[in-house]
Amino acid sequence: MTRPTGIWRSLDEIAKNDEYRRFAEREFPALEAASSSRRDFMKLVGASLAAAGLISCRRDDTRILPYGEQPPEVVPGQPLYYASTFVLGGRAIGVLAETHVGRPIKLEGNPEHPASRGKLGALAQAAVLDLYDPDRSRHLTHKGELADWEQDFLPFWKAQREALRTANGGAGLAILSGRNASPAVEMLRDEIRNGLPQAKFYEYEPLELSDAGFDADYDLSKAEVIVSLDHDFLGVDEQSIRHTRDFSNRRGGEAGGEMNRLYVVEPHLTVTGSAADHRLSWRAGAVREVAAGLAALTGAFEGQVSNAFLKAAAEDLLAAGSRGVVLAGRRQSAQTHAFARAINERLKSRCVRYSGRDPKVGDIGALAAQLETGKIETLLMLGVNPVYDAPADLDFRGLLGKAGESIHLGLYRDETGQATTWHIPQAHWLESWGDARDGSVVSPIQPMIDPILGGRSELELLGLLAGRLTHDEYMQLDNPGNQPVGSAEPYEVVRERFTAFAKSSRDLGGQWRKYLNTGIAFAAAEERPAPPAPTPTRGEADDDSWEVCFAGSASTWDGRFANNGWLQETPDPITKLVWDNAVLIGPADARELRVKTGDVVRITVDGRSVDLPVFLVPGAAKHSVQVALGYGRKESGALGRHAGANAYKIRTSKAPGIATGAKIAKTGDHRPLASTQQHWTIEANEVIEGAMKDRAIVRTGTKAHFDEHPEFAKHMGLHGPVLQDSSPRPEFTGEYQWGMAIDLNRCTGCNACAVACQAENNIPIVGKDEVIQGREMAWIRIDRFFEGDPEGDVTVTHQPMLCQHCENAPCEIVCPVNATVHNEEGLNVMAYNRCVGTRYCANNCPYKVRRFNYYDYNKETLRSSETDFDGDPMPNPFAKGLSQPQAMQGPLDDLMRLQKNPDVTVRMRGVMEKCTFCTQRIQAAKIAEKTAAGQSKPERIADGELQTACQQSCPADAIVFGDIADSRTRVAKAREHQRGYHVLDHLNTRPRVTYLARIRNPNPALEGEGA
Amino acid sequence: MSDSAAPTAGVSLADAQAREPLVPDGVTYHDVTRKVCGMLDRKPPRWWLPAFLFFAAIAGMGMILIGYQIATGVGVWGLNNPVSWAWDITNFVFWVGIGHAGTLISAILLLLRQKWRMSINRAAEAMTIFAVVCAGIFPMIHVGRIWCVHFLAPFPNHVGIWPNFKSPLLWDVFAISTYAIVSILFWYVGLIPDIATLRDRAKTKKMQIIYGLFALGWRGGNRAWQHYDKACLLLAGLATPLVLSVHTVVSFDFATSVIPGWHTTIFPPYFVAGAIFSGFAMVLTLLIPVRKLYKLESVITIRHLENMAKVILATSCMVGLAYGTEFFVAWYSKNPYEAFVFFQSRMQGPYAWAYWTMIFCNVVVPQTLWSKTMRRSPWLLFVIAGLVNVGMWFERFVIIVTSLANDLLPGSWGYFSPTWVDILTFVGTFGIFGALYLVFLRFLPVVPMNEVKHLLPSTAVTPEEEGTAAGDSDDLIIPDAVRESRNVAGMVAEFADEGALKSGAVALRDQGYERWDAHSPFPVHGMDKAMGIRRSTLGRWTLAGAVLGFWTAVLLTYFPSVQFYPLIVAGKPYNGWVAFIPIYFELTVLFAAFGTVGGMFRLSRLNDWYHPTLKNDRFLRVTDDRFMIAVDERDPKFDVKRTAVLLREAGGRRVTLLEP
Repeated sequence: MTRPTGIWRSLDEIAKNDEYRRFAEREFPALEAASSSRRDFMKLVGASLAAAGLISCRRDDTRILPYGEQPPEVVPGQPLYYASTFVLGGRAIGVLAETHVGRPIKLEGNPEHPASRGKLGALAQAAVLDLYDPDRSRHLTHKGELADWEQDFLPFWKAQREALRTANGGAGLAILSGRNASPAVEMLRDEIRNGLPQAKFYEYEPLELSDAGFDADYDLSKAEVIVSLDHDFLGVDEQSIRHTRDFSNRRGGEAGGEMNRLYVVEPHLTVTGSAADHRLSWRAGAVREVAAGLAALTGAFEGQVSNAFLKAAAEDLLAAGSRGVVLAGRRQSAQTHAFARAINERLKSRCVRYSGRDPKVGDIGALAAQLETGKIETLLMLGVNPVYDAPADLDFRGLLGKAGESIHLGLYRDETGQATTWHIPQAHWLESWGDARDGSVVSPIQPMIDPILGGRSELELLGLLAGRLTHDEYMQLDNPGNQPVGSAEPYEVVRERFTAFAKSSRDLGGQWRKYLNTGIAFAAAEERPAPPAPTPTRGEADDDSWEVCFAGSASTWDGRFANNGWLQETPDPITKLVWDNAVLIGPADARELRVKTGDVVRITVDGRSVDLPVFLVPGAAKHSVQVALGYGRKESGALGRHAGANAYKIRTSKAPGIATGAKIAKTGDHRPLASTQQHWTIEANEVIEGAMKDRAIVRTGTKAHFDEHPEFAKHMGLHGPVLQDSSPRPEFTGEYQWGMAIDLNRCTGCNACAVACQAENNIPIVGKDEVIQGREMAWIRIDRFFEGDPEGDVTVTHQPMLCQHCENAPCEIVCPVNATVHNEEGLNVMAYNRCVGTRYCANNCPYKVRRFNYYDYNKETLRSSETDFDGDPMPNPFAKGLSQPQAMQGPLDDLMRLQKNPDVTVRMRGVMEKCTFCTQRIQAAKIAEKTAAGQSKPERIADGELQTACQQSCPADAIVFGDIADSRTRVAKAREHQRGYHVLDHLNTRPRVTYLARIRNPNPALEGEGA
Repeated sequence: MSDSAAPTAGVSLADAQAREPLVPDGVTYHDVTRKVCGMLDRKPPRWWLPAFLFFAAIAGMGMILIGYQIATGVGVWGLNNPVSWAWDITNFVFWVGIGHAGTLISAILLLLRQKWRMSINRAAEAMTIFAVVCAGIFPMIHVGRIWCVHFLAPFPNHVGIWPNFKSPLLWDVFAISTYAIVSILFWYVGLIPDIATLRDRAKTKKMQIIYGLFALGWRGGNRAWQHYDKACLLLAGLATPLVLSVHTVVSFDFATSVIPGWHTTIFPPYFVAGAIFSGFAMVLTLLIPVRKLYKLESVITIRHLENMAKVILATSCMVGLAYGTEFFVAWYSKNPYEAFVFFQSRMQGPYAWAYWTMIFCNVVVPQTLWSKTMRRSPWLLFVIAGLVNVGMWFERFVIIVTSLANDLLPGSWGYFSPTWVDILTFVGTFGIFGALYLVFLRFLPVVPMNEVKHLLPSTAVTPEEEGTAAGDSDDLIIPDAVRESRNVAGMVAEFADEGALKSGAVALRDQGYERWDAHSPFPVHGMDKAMGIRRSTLGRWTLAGAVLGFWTAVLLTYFPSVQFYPLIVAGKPYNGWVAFIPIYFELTVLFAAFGTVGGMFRLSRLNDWYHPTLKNDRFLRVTDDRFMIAVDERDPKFDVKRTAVLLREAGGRRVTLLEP
């Protein structure tokens, strides 16, 4: 607990008091006393509120600087935005953190940052919740016992460094981390290599499912023809935000305009597959053959191919030339990557850049080999969890025993943290300093709040290992700035690194401030030319055995977000599954195995097996199943423990992406799966087809049709007489008339809007059991509609559905207590205080977007099954002790409460809620105009200045919000757009949300081959 | 009492006189009293207490579950996002439907002069009230925040907003509460003469006071009967449109919505027919065992059962027609949403089992009632009525749940399955209903005695009693109290039957007496003329109530909606008076009913709980089987000797002075 500034000093003094220290370590004692008397409870609530207050003033405002030009004062009720960086799989995504009196409550994209451009995906949106996860690790442990940083770890660490240095130059030291994006880490690595030349660095990303030997950076902003070979670049991908933006920007939208074309070859439907103009269900193991065929047709390889799909795609690619690109999937073999690279090089594609990797860094296989020799004395693992996610054949847990000392730095005392000799709680990235690089752009990671549960950063550990001093030691030096030894304090490290790439030495302070203010700086990246690709060969033909495709999860990524309730409850874009992974299987294969959705099967690969329920999906390749990784966590905290089964158990280093020759057998068990879009199951698809046929809820057309009939969307659906209001309606007298437009042509179904809405509007999670009941609370849901033969190629359309703010709102007329009425600006407003909860409004809502609080979801325990999937009993949420999961006590845990947006009411049970068009943002924008105007007349809110949370995060820019009364606004134009239509307009509800019809751009050469 | 006579063969429907009598020959007024009151006088039958405890226990379980639900949240039921109403509103509509038969039998059949209703209407009315109690539970507890339910009441509360008078749910509040209140008034007014009988037969002081309190001093005088008869007629007139309106308004909950399967213009008549259908089925379900257990076969005859079976058959056909119409419209409209609901969702969808149960029970089973044998066999009727009850519950379930589960946007479709709380709460309401019904059977006359006596031939006075009366002396009987105090309150004389009473009345009328009354166990036809009194003016009270109610409704809806809180609701005009019509109607009827009952109380001076005649032991038999004339001492013509002679000459016997 030693921090440098005044604020901290006074707390340090308190912290010397033993009792306070114990209290502060536990941080929120109210949690641990849930079952004590009411009197105790009140005392503890008081205490924890006080603690919350302390936390909220812990932000170190002498060090970091707010985004833009605002002064750094904290005005209660006035949010401040700070630039920071979210790093996923070695890729930097610039964010702005919205903080209220020192609490970060929401993340938004940094408009300056090239990866985000003001947009943010679901994972990044949800990252703020992890900060407040009460299950996060709070204690430094040594061999399972509580230990102290200063008294126990620091002496050990220094001694260890000394021992390593003197013995053999650090030969026994191995450092494992995720894919590095931080220039500061690079600097420290070099420093470590200086002192300990034999030290070895290793990097491991579980979702890098195969190794092509080189990296590919795609730039789709210029791509006209895109062929994805099993690459879900719009879905589970570190750069999906950038790709979605670039892809959607070229989707056209005006009749007669230009439009890119996407071919997708994949074994199972993905977000990318649903965006495709042509999609081919193809076994993952056979994609290499497709790649070879495509290479042959484009002249990059020899061979004869007669497949119409490939011919059409190849011709398109050749026609597009440098504007064509072939993308190879992360689980595809080096061969497929080599073919793709050969084609791209042949096309001289401007849409891809190949690069090599840091040759001084090893992979997990190399580390395993080193560990096997027993020569590793010290293994430092930074923010990774290889015991859970390393290939199963490596037996990483066993290997750990062969290392002398193993040190784990992690947000959770997870599977790895429990197996190592040392576990150090890691500070969340919103609590620590750092930096990250994206090409030539470097962005800072700024702490928004002091570590709530304690915790150290990666930089600090590495800095100490590099021989730097702790902050206290550093401050005790005379004239510290001129000493040869630096401080290991992350802030100093980051600043030092920044100084190194600063443009000039003039006004370093100003440059630094600008860096922090804007969140970006430019620094030439070290070019690492790509090694030559292996010579592509056709390889053996794929057999017909069962293949298991491993995929990252849209919710948990590789498992690291397993304890994030928002993400667990975010429906998978395709299956709409929540809180679970499953074996995705096509209907024909399911018939062959005689399984139905929910039946548990045992998948055996090379003698390793895992039990998982099956889930039927259309558009799956024959004898191919897909399993999402990142579930079945044991030591993730209470929420992740419930979710799914661990597919890493059957993933080996031999077949990290696709395992063939698998055995799938029915076990006879059944596990209920929670899917937010149940329908009548896929078996009854004909009924759905019949139901969908004439409804024209999603309106789609081909580009050719659109060019010919630009207003085709307006002529779909029911056509009765145009309904007139029989009596004069009250007029909307407001200065603004709010409306929204959603372009289905741009939407990919990525869920960014849904999570942004959840964060912005304090939407609770309800747990798996409640989702099975059908009680999810999402204000914006993404309806996913299949078209076509479920056993063949299907097309998918995503339709975000939220309150339509109907001018003739059917919900309002039926409310007996006027709890939902219109305001003068055309918003359908909810008065929560007035609501008695008859639910009549929800019944009469044709769009079914109203959400009812059946329980006090914000207060109560999550309702969930008694055992996790492996049959292990749930940890007792009331038991006390080390690293006890506590999220089960309810999401509105005292800690979680800190995340709540203070501008939005937290709803109680028995109350109906729904999308408000972010009415709090509307009010804030109006107030801002008034404040700015002072005594004079306020300016009108400019178009685009006010964004709803969903709009703001949408990477595809599919959502537009604004004043429809002003014909110059984007939304007003969208309402008049040729593709514009209203869902269920025959009911005369007069929605304020306009949808723009989706256009597909199939290759005319493939007409009739299925879209 | 012997069992009912064997059915008369070959009864012609056209020949009303040739029908078998509703009450068998030879039954006297006193027999009726003895039979009906005997149920209450005697110790309860052996099954009563166990049966009551059984139902009370189920009711208790229901209450506990309601408490659990209120304490925990509506989530204990199986409701979800698309299906926000399921068993709660199904049960509500089911019970409201059941609550139709009672008032219908009393009111509409009274207006149609259907005498066969008389022996069953009391039991049916009680059923109505208890069913409405059960119905009222569900809208109350189904809300998310029951502690805020007073927001629905039309008065300014702390939240400062008035209810939305355009909401069908608010119409429901008005319709159901008006229906409950008017039904209770109607039932109570009908009970007053019978409670007076109970008071006059009471063996203990306690029971006398309790019954006396509710009898409001009823003495069967014609000046009261006159207004009473009128009040019954007026209430029947008011209750008739009310019966039709209640389920019409309930059907508006669905019909005014936009959900396919709900949004249907035929709902009002369809719901009313369904309500009558289920209501009559429930009456049969209750009456057949009661009739057997209490040996009331002579009062509730096979003919009653048969008539009810005919109503069930007719309404079953109406309901079947409504089902067919829905399909026709779904097909004819070419509306894909409608077609989907009726042809796919309901017939083949996930709830097809519920749909076909409904069709079987409501349309197929009642067709057996075309057979006279079926209509006349109580236990078969019992089974059929039970199946109809099941079918009608499923009808509401099918309408509510299938429409919501698979509505307009397939993206939001869901499935509802009930939880144990859903099921047991519903079972609990049967406990409440059964327990209340058993209390009713135990403490109130199941059969309206005064109405049944009205049906008997005028010679039905008990013969042996007549004998003793004839032997009485012609002398004026002077009670000791009068002799001692020399204070007289009036004079009473007994008459043999209705005819004798009438001639007595004519004699007094001709002599110009003013403060007197002719008392009888039931209203005697032509008595007004015999007594020379004007027609009842009660109609004016009713009209005044109606006018007051209408304007109250107009102002109540206009000012909050247009003046105080003009809110933009669904783009409807502020003064959307069309949407206020149900409220105008309900308040008009409610206030008219208040006017009628209040007027009757006032005109009949029913608030006088005590009268000197009640001290006369023989006078107490007026509410059983006697006919008497009482003359008040304050009458200017009153003279002990002359009046006594006049009464005796007019056919009166046992002329007795009344102590004050």
